[in-house]
Amino acid sequence: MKNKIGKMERLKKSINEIRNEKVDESRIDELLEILNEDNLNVEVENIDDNEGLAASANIAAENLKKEQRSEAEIS
Amino acid sequence: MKQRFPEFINKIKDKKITIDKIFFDSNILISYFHESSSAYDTATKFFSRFDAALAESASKEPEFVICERVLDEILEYEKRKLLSDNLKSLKENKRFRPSPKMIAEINNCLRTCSTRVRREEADIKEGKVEVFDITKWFLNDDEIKKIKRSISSKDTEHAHGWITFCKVYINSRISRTYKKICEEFIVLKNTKNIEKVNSICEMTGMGYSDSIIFQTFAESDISYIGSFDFDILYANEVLHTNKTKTVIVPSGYFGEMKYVLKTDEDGIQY
Repeated sequence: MKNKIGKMERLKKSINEIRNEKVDESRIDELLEILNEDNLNVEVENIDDNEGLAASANIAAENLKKEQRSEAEIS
Repeated sequence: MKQRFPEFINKIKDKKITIDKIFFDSNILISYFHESSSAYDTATKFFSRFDAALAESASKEPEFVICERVLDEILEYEKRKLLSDNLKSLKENKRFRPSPKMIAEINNCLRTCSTRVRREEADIKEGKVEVFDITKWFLNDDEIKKIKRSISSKDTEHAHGWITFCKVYINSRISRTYKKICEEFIVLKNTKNIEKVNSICEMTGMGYSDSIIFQTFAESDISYIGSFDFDILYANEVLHTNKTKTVIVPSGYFGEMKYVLKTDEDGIQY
């Protein structure tokens, strides 16, 4: 007799087959390219940020030196 | 009424009952579809014995029925499984070069999830837990969002990392699983009687989803529901739908019902 429980077993099998389908390697490559590229971008952004900070610090240091020189000249 | 799995199976074998239709709650089906579930063996044993009993009694093939809410829950767990398993697979890919922040978030969430599963397994082994908590098996919504944010490391407008991850690993799997389930089950519309759902939720304090599932079953023409959920059994008792509806549950659940249930002449609590 072909009963419903047999169908349940087949359903579980079908669900498992859908879950375990092999993913195309080229699509994984595409994903890794995006994720790794994104990470590179994050790193670049961080470097940019660091450079920006360093530049700001240099400017601040230069300004401080100028102020100190001016104060020395005045005194 | 309520029946333990073995008694229900025996009644079918002995032709004391005929099952034309049976409603299933989400937890028993999710347990059956997920081998990692602590209730997998219980669910598998139930379905295989049910199968054998139907064959033995040469019973007419019963219709399996769920409602839309049950289907939602099955698909939600399917999605969580796909995301959890494939995030692990991505993490183990040697060509994956994540930022420290991204890998820290992925590791942290996967570790939290596996600790949760180990604790649940230990609690069940020690008998501390009888009610199977399906929410613990996979990454939860909060963890998935954290990983999504870390993978979509730039602004959300260009969050193509996560979108591509979903395209690669989920793709059409949810819609194909949906179709397969609809081929095997009758899927009832959820109840429209929201007042009644509100009232069940207010009266019993059970989950709103469970209240929808219970009310959909209660107003259907189906007499039996298979469930692992104590709340479904409890609602059937306190809402007095137990004269026409029977909840089929694993044996252990009757112990918890000792203050609610009475015992009949066969020693069966009901």
